[in-house]
Amino acid sequence: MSIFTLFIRGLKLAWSRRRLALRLWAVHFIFSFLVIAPLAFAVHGQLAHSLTGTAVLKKLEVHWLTDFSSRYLDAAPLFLGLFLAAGLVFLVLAVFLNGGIIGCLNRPGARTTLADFFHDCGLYFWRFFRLFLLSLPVYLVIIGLLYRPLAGLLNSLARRAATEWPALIAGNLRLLALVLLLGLVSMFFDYVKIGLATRGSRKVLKEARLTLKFVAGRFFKAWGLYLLAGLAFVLLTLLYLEVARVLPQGAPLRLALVFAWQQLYILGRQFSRMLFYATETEFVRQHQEQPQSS
Amino acid sequence: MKKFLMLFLLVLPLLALAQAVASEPMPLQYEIWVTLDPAQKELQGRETIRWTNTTRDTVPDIWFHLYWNAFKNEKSAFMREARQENFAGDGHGDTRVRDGDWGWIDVESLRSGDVDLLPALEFMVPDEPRHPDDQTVMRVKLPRPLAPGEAVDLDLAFKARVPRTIRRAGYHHNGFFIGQWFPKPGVYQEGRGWNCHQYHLNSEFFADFADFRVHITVPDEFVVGAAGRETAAVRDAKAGTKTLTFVQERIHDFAWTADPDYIRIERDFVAREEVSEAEYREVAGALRLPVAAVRLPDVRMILLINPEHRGQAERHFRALRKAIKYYGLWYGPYPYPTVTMVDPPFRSGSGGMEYQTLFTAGTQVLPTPQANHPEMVIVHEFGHGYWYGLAASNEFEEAWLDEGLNTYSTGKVLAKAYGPGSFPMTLAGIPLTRYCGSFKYSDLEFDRAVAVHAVALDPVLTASWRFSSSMSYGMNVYMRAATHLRTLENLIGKEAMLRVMRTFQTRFRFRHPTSRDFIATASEVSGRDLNWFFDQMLRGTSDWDFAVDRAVSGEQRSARGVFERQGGKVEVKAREAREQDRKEKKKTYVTRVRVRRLGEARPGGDVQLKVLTVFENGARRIENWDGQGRWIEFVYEGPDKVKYAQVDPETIFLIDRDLSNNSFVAGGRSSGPLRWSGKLLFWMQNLLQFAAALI
Repeated sequence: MSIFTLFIRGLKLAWSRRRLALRLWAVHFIFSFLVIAPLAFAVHGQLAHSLTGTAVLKKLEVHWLTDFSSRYLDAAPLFLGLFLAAGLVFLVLAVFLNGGIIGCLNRPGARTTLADFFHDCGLYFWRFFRLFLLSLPVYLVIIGLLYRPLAGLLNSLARRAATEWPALIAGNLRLLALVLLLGLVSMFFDYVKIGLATRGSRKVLKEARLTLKFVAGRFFKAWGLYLLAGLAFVLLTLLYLEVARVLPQGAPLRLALVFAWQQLYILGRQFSRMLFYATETEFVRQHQEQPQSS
Repeated sequence: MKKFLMLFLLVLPLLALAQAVASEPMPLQYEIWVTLDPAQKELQGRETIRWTNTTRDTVPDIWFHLYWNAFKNEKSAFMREARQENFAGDGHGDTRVRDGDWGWIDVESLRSGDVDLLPALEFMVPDEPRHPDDQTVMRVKLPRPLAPGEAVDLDLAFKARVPRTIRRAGYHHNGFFIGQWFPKPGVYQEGRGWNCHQYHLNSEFFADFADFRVHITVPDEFVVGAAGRETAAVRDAKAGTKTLTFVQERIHDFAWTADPDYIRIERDFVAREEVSEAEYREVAGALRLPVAAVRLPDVRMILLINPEHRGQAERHFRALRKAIKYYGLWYGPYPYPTVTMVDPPFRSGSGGMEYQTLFTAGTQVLPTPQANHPEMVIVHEFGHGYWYGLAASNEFEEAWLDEGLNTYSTGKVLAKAYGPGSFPMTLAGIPLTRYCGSFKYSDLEFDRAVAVHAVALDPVLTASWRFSSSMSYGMNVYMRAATHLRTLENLIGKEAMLRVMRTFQTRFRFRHPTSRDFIATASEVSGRDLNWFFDQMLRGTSDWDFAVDRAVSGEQRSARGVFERQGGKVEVKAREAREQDRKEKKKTYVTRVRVRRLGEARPGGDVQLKVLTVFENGARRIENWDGQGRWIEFVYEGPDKVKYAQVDPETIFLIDRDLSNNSFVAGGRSSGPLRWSGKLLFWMQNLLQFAAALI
């Protein structure tokens, strides 16, 4: 089965569980709202009784940014600390939600209830959390052993360049290498999670070993499928940006339209996240159904 | 005859210009022969100097700058200051020097006639705090003291090692940028002696006007750009070199550059094509000058550009034309026949620097189309030809006088010629303006953004090396000073400000003005005592922050209580008072507007702060406040409620730390805050999504 067929099957699978995207969006919305609330209150406190509040309705005002930074600069460490703490909590939340996503994609019926979703979140949480802890040193090793020497080589080429183009190309290659390597690790751990869910295993290290064998045996197909899902995300983002740049700004009704489009994009991103898992699930299923074809 | 007359009239401004440039004898005359050895990264030079004592003092010695010795070792003032600023690192930003990359200059011989002065040479350390091993200033005792009006001829030989680019001088690959490279006398100030500071981390330069004749020998394949005009080129086929001679009168600095890859392109600034009669009349009217006094001469523009930026050549020329036009119209005609603009070699680190009649720009292979980026650098560096170049202030001691005035002028020219520019958003060097190009800003806004954070760091008027940090130096002398000048413009009016700048430039061309001269000129031209303004803005570190604390309206109600009526006491009860209020058809509101001074800075002289109150029926009330107290309250009675109140409604005081609290809208508005809260939410959601993708 080609990666395109697998991609279509994954798309169908994700679409059949589309209500899941709504649930994920709702959780992310509430969490993000809580995180930005202090900053939003600060903005409100500054602008609610100021003529600047009208000025910033149409465009980003540099004067306003100046005023804001001047007023809240001393509170910057507090905001930063808050964001870092929220970031850590979010990592745990994301691990929790991953259980729900993968569990729902692996349930036989298309309809899953909220209770099913949270059941799966809870069911896989500790396995996925241990896996998350395992992924941290792997990211470090990949960045340290693969990315840094590569970046060093590209940097050295860029430093020696007598003209700007080679340096620019080297810079872009470095960025691309980083994205691809991070994607590679992310893909590997996606398959481990799927393996843990489909096999019902609780042994994370053993599953990681099996997944390594699985992915290594069919690396290019798995990688191609992952990139295809990545391309879908890029296209979704471009669509969002193209529409966003022509959306009018200013009046409250238009603001509502912009906000709705932004949230639709976030919903799309949730679906895109499901799509990665769905295509990978289909890939695993294909090889479970036809082990001889691998 | 008519044709001849026309020709004469056309040539007249040029003749006058040439005469203006060449008329007065300069205290300094240089002739320099220099050979570049690209393989050894060395300069071998000989220099003859005639220095004339134009003061009433008897002068026993001459002090020289040897700037490149700042890059000789880690004991120079420059390097020590760099290290002090970066405790953890091995250097400070672009001052980091790798082994083998040091630069220096040695004076190999120094004679006055038959007298060898070399044994009398000594290095001087004039500045505090002291860096005793610094070798960037040398003193030479003259064979005999020079009486007023006397001149001395000196003959020097020097050898210099070109550093790998540091502070905009040096080499990178085959590209050489040679600035501040020759032994250069300081400025003798009558009654004060030599003004010859060491080369500091945060300082630029100060020198006397001079006539230069410089002969530069380089390998034949090198393309050379230099200050002044090229008057001769002699090729030595056998040696594979060429010697180019450049001449320029009345400049105080001479820089040059050589690179085999430069593409040299020339264009002309033709005044009659660039400036219309209506524009001449408009500017002449504003300056209260005859039209003939504001006419501009033609200028030859020379561009040395890198091959990969070849496609941007016309963009460079367009920006330079705008700069020559507006600086010329507003501050006086550009007095030299040529200007050379250099797009410096990649990574040479020599971009964005001014030298007289030559400056460096800087661009990328993928410039952001809507951002005024190369334009800003071109306009700014050309502008230094006026502020630092012609009005040659002391950059060591009063850097705001050139950087501040020029940042202010750059903003004016860019606003006039281009309008607001986009913020240059890039990802790994690739412009993202298709999606992020709508964020436009003006120089005025950017300058203020930096300025309000600089106020408490140091006074603007601080010697360059005495600022608390490089950042404070940059923020204060560029953006804070420019924001103060914008404030001054708002205070005295655009036309008066234009006349201040023009008068200052005209009066101090080919001289060394000080801050005191600028303050005196501003007060004289505007007809107002501005000492209070400059005291606070240049010498102070106090915040300027005025705010409308509240603007509220309340219905005027009938009073309750016991009143003396008809010879007896009558009590008006709550119910009766309410009844009376209900019967009243025309309601009256009492509006209270309270304005506070939150900062320590305050207006002075005859300046009053305006406080505008706007009512729901559109009625406006304007009050004045001297701003001396901590607060003031204005009370109004009328048929309408207040809509909003605003202090300094014309935003005269741009340096105000928080403009958003200058107004108070009764009832409040939520659309603006909601928009940005929504955006914050969206950005946070995206950020978290990226994190989730890795888990």
